[in-house]
This record gives sequence, structure tokens and C-alpha cells, in this order.
Amino acid sequence: MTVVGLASLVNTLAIVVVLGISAKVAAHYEAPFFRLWTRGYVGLVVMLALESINTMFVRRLGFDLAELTVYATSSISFLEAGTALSEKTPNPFWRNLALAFFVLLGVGLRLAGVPFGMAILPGVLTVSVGYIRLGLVFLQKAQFRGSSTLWIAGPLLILGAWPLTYPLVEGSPYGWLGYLFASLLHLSVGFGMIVYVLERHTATLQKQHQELEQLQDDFLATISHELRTPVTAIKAGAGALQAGLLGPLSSEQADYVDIISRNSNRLHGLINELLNFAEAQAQAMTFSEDETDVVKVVADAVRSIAPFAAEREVKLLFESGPPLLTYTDQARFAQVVLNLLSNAVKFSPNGGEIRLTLSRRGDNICLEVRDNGPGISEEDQTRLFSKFFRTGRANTRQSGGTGLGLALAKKIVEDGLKGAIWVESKLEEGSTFFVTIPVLQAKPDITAGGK
Amino acid sequence: MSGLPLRVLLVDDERDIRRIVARCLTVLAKMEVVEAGSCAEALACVTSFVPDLIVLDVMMPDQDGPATMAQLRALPPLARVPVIFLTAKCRQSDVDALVSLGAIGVIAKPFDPVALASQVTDLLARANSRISSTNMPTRGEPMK
Repeated sequence: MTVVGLASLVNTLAIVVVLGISAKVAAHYEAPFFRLWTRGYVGLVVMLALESINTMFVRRLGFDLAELTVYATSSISFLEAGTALSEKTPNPFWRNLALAFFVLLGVGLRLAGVPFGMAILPGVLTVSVGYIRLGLVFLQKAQFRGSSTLWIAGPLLILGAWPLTYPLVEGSPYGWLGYLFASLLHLSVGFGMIVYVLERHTATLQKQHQELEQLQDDFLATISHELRTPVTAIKAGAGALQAGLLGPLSSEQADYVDIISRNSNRLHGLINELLNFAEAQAQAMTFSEDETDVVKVVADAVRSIAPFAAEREVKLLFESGPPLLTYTDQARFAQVVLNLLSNAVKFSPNGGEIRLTLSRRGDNICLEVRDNGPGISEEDQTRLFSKFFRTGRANTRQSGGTGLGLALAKKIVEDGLKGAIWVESKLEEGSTFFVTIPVLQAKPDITAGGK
Repeated sequence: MSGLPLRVLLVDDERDIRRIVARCLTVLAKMEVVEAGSCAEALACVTSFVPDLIVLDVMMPDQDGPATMAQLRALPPLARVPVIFLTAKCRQSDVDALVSLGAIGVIAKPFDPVALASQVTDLLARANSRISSTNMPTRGEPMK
């Protein structure tokens, strides 16, 4: 194999690689001019290949089928170039008419004895238009920065390089130089295009993502306002009555105000749970790192759930020991503990017992909430932490709740507190929920007054 | 607290909530409350009366709480009147944002009507004690 042959082979390989990847990219990403460019590229390569076949076989075949194909492909590309430039989709009728015109024009030119080099002008124009357009995009938007700067000159360079490269190849002893130059151009421009399209696609995605997040944030803010306002009025109104701000109530009146108050509290709890979950889904939840005594948080949770437990005659067992300190989001951790506790109370039988244990396990603090309720089947355990899931029991018994509590707890523990949450349970033998959170030291910049 | 009752300007677009808040502050904190349903009403109120405290809802149509605060504070006699926000948006970032605007505190909705009065007086007392030491506003006491 001669040096020129080898260089030609390398060049062909470069074209195949670039075209292969370009076609793949063009098929997956919305970028009309990139599609145009790829098609024009294919058109020209096909044209050159056919021209070689032509010179070898046309005299034997007596019919120039290859050239006809060349005109057709280049004309289509040319038309598309115009389309992309005007950024309008032409009427199909005019499009077809124009297509026929360009095909006939090409064939006519060739039949009239116009040399091949002239007849392929539509094809060359196609690619040029694509390049010019790309060049304009590059220059106007200056989107190529950093590593990509290398490719800016490519599209413009190849315009001038085209007439220099291929004529040099034919029959010249320095043909390999031409091929080498061509290979470099193919690779640089091709990959420049691909990188550009991918970068632009990423930027679009990021923008869409930001818009979506903004939308979700706005939506949440509105919903939380609209839902909380009436609840605020009901709760506060009932509270004012209960506090005797409007004079003493008869026992029956107090009883009814109590019904309003309890149910508005419940509604408020449900709304908060829904909003918390929506916030977590929207990634709008923020986590702080406060110095937290886990023992105190659990003791507080036990205290606040105690009336509810007493109502259901459920015993809460927790021995608070010396402080267990870590840096975590205290409020969110308290939310998780409260959620586990209220679930445990909900599902405990009358006279049941809930035992809470806190222990240090290596670099983690582990909380166990053990109940002697009906237990959770293995099948339910696998879906327990998914949203809107409620065990069979939850449906038969009026336990209330949105089915979001544990899903939210999992999200908080895993995403925010960098810990773990799981359950161990056997039917008829009760359940134990485990939460572990890491023992963290204060970050140096926290005491320096970051937040 | 002694002498004349504190005068409060209460701005909230929700009439029901306004009535309850006013009742709590009058009965429990012995304050004198003037109610306004919007920024415009608030501006009309302060022509004849200079409040010692402004309690502002955050989310209101037309001018929201922060905008209302800015307009009220632009009036020379009200430039240094302490402001407390009432808000249903009580994420830490929301609270921090309001405090950084110059509010002395934020009270979350839904509020406990009995606790509300003491929260308001506590925030006021803390703000007053701070004035002598530093001008830095600090965060109020957001409830659950």
C-alpha cells in the first residue's frame, strides 16, 4: 500500500467516524442545522464516492446513474439549507417543485456538458450554507468557551480548505499531505460540531430544569398560602373561643369547639405533610446543621405524643440518658421521630407498649422504635417507604394519614440527614423501626458565622 | 409595659384572621389595634395615627408584606417602627429573608391565638433591648 493509499484510508476512516457519531447525535437532539450539516456531509461524501465509481465504471455501464443520485442528494440538501436559513418550513408543494427543479437543473447542466466540478456546486453550497450558519451562531452567541474554543475557526477554515485539499490529492506525489489535512479537518470540524450540539443541548436542559423548579416553587408557595389561610382562621378562631377570649363557654359549647379545634389540627397536620412531601419532591427542602442533642429531641417527641398515646392507652417507654450530640437538622430529625412515634401509636393495640432506644453504633447514632402491634408482612415491608403506600390495616382501620409520612421520613433521613431508615417486623410480633444518623463534628465555617 | 397601651397597625387581607389577631392583641396584650386590609388602607391609616408596632401579613394581593413595609417605612414618622410579619411561608430561608429586610421577627401561620400575644410582646421586648446594644436585626421565633 502506498503512503497516499494509507492516508486516503485514514481519511475515509475519519469521515466514517465523524459521520457515524454525527448521525447518532443528529437523530437524538433537536438541532435543525446540525441535521442539515450531517445530511450535506453525507451528500458530499456520497458524491465523491460515486464520482470515483463513475470514472471506473460509467463507460462500461453506459448510463450515469451515479451522477443522477448525486444531483438528487445535493439538491435536497441545498433546499434544506435554504429552509434552515429562513427558519421556515416551506409549503410541501413548493418544496417538491423546487426539488424537481434542482434535480433537473443538475442533470441538465451535466447533459449540457458542464464539468462535474461545476455540477456539484449545489452540494458544495449546501455544506457551505450549513457552515456559514454555524459560524454565525458561534460568533453571535459566543457559546464556545474554554475547551471548545479550538473549534470556532473550523467551519470557516474548511470553506477555504476544500478547494485546496482534494485537487492536491489527485495524482500528486504529495497527495498524502492533502489527505492528512483533510482528515484533520474532518475530525476537528466534525467533533467541534458534535461538542457544540451537545453543549447547547445541556444548556437547554439546564434552563428547562431551572424553569421547572421555579414553577414548582411558585406552585408550592401559592398552594401553601391558599390551604393554610382558611386553616389558620379556623384554628385561631377555635383557639380564641377555647381560651375564653370571647367569654366563658358552656360545657357543651366547649365540647363542640374542641371538635372544631381537633379536626382543624388534623387538617393542618395533613396539609403540612402534603406540602412537606411536595417540597421534598421539588428538592426545595433545605437542611441546616445545628448542634443537636438527639436524646433531648427524642424526649421532646415522646412528650408531645404522650397525650395521643394516652388517648389510645398506649404506653411509651423511653429512658433518657446523657446527651448524645451531633450536628444535624434538628427540626427535620424531630419530624422523623415524631412520624415514627405517631405511626407506632396509631398501629398499637389498646394497652400496647412502645419502646424507644437510643444507642451509639460506631460513627452513628441509632434510634429504635419498637412496638408490639400487629407487625408488617414481608410484602408490605418492601413497599412501606414508597409514597401513598398504606398497609392493608391502614385501610381497614381509621388511622388517618396521607400515606406520605414514611416516604417523607425516608427522603429526609437519606437525602438530608445522610443516614438510613429501615424496618424489621414479623406478623403478630410487632415492628421495629430503625433510624441511624452519623455523628458529625461542627464544620469549621459554621462557628465562623456562615449561616 | 406601663402607661398608654401600645398602638398596633395590623395589615392582613384576610378579614377573619385580622379580627382574630386584633382580638388576641387587644384582650391578651392590652394593645390598641388599628386594622387595614391592604397596603393602600394602611397608608390611609397612618395619616392620622402613628403606630408603635406594625404587624404585617406577607402574602397579599397588589402590594405584598415586604412592599407594604417599604412604603410605610418610607414615611419619616414610621421609619423606625418595628415590624413583625405573619406568614404561612415559614421555611427557614423565607424567615431569614424577611428578617434581613428589617423585621424584628416572624410569626408563623397558623398561630396559636393565646401564644400570639406573648410572642408579639416578647419580640418587641427583645428588639427594644437590642437597640441599645446593636442595630443588627436577628431572627424572631418561628413556630412549627
